[in-house]
Amino acid sequence: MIEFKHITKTFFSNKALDDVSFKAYSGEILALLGQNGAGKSTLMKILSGVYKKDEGQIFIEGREAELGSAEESRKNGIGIVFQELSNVPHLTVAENIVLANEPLKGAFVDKKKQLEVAAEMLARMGIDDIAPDRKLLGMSVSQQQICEIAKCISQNPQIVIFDEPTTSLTTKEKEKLFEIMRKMKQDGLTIIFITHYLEDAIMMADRCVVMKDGKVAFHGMMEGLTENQLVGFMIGEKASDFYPAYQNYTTEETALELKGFGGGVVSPLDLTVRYGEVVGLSGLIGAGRTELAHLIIGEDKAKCGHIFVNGKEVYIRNENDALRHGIGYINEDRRTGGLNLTMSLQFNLSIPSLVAGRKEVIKKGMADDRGISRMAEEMIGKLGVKCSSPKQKLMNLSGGNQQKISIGKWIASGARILIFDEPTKGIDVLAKAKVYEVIRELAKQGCAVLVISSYNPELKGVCDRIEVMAKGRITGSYGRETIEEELMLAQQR
Amino acid sequence: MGTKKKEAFKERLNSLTVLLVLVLMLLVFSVIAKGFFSTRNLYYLLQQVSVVGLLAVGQTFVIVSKGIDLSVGTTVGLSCIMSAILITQYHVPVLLAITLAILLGAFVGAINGILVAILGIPAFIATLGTMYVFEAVALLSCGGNNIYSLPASIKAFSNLNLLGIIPSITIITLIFAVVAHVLLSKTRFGRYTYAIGSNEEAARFSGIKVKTKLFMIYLMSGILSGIAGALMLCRLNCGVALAGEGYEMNAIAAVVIGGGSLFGGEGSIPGALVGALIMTVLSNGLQLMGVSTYWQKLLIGIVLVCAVFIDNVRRRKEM
Repeated sequence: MIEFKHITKTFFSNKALDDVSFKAYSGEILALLGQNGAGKSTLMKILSGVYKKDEGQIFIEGREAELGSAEESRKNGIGIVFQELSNVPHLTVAENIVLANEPLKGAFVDKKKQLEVAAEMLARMGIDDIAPDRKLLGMSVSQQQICEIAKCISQNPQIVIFDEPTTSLTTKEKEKLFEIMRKMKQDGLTIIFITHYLEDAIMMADRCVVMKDGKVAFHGMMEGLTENQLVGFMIGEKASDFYPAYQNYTTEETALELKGFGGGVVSPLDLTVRYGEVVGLSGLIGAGRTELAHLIIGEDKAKCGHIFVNGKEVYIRNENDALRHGIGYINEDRRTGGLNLTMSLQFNLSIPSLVAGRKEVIKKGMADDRGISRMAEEMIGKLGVKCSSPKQKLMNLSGGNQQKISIGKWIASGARILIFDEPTKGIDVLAKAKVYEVIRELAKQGCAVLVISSYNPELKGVCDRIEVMAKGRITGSYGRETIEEELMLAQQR
Repeated sequence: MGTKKKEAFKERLNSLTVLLVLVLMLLVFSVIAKGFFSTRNLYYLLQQVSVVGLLAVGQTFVIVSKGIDLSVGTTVGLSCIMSAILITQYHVPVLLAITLAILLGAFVGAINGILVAILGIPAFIATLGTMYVFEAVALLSCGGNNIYSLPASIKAFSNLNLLGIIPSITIITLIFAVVAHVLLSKTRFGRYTYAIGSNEEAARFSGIKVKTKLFMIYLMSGILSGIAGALMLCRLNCGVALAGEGYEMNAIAAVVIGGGSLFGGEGSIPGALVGALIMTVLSNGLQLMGVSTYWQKLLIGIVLVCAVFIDNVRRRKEM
């Protein structure tokens, strides 16, 4: 059992956690829900010893616990299965499971014992299809995650936290994970399950805690609660008007045209996007949509075909060429490929504009800090970015606000053809609504927009037309009125 | 507005801390080290700091871009000995000889640039390699001997000064430092350097031609090292193949003390210059106090680690 009593944590006079109190009992699964920035990650970082709480107490099995470091947290019986896997691929399953806690025989690692420990842990979870002496390299995400869980329980925790464990799992793999979680619950462990997927939470959890703006907004039994009710607790207002009102802004003017264009996993294909039009690219993971975008912007080399921008054939060898032809790509992975997290908001917002040579940010050939500041303030206002100043470092912002900057930098650059790659991945409900609004607004202003998304309702919500990709080909083209089943069938072709 | 001003003040305070340390050191040494606060010693100090300072200027760009250039010390020696050889053995006019030596520095920089930016070899290894290679070239070219009997014009230039306390070579370093400061803090090239250093992939996706920029950064470091070699020739009034031995480490330390981060995306020219001054003042002051060079190294090592540690603590607080 773990109990939080009046936990408070402040960053820059900003209360990330405000008097948070709740309990999680042994032998139950507690769902911890909330939008990004609601305080879930901060709370978990306090539990894992990354942050120190300012006020409040944490009791584990009735005793007050000081969690000043990862080591102390582990000693207090807390185990965390992180969203991002922290395995070492070049080591074997067994080596990974006992990592940093190797059984010793004299000064050497006891290899036999190591295998025994690993086998025991896997058996405890009911896993029989993973060999402990195999290297992790080449295993599926699900199998690697199982190893991570095995490592976690090998240290005999009483409390296990799963942080967004299902994000990169298939439905089948998810079932496997849930089976393991249920088994751990039966063994009497306290399980805290953090997830964005309300359906999963309703299915798995006995009780739930919903956080909002650093406070506990709801705390109670899960039984009888609906997704709508949970969303209501999370945003504190009705989830209606999620997608902006639709109006068709499509013009006759072709912005981007691909003819027999392909390379890598993308088979030669044709695609046209007009100014004022929002075209969706639907498909399963691995259908070749991101790969297609990378070919268009010159990140990867196209093997065949032609690209026309404004009716003229162009040759794009790299992102610089793409930018000069007015094409902007909002990266799927904003942390690695989209943003300079250690730099300020205005620095990030200004880069593509500087590369494009926009006169708003350049004065006498130099970077114009006043112009950049003005541009940043305007963009922050337009996109509703929550920050203390344009000079704030980006890493201190929530995922949703970071995504707004990732989009804003391309809007500021004056690019008229914008490719959004999974623009709402890992961001909260309100930020999502803002992204949809921005996409429609761009269409209204006459931009051509291509949206890649694995979430069909969102494509139906913002697009004028949806193209479905499967195995590197376009397998269907639909209007916005299409039903989801049609899209899903086309994805399987 | 209140919080904004506060933040701006905080930022300035951080950059002022190193300056404060320098001023404090100057005061302390003025009191306890006999002869420290004299025109002669300060003149000597400025002469001494000029070469490392110029190297630190080039190194700042490299470190901000998340790279490292270990070959700068070697390049100083190479440029120094080559210009001396050209002048004394081939009777090349002094200015032409120095220009050729600087071009040689550019050549080393270009090779570093190709290795790092185009071929993708880690900067540490690439520049370690060129460091060894060009040290060998420098030593082979003179057989390891120093070259004396340089024309009087070199000595005369070295003795030029402003108001009797600012040596000519310091003025040259300052001119380059001012130009580099503008380049790093005001121009697009400077912004791109920070962008590449803080996240190279994001920089590439933003349309920055990362390879070209990185090449230019290493080229620039090479050119500045070539110039530093020429300054060394003036200061020593003789050609020495190993004149810059160990200077690359001093330059790196100067950048880091001045707020640069080896993780990229941080650092400034004024900071690097103050860092170079701190290192030089420390060793000069200790020398005047009669502390042996062995102890000096020990203290400089401690200062370096402390500076970075304090900086780390500050940064963690910011998070």
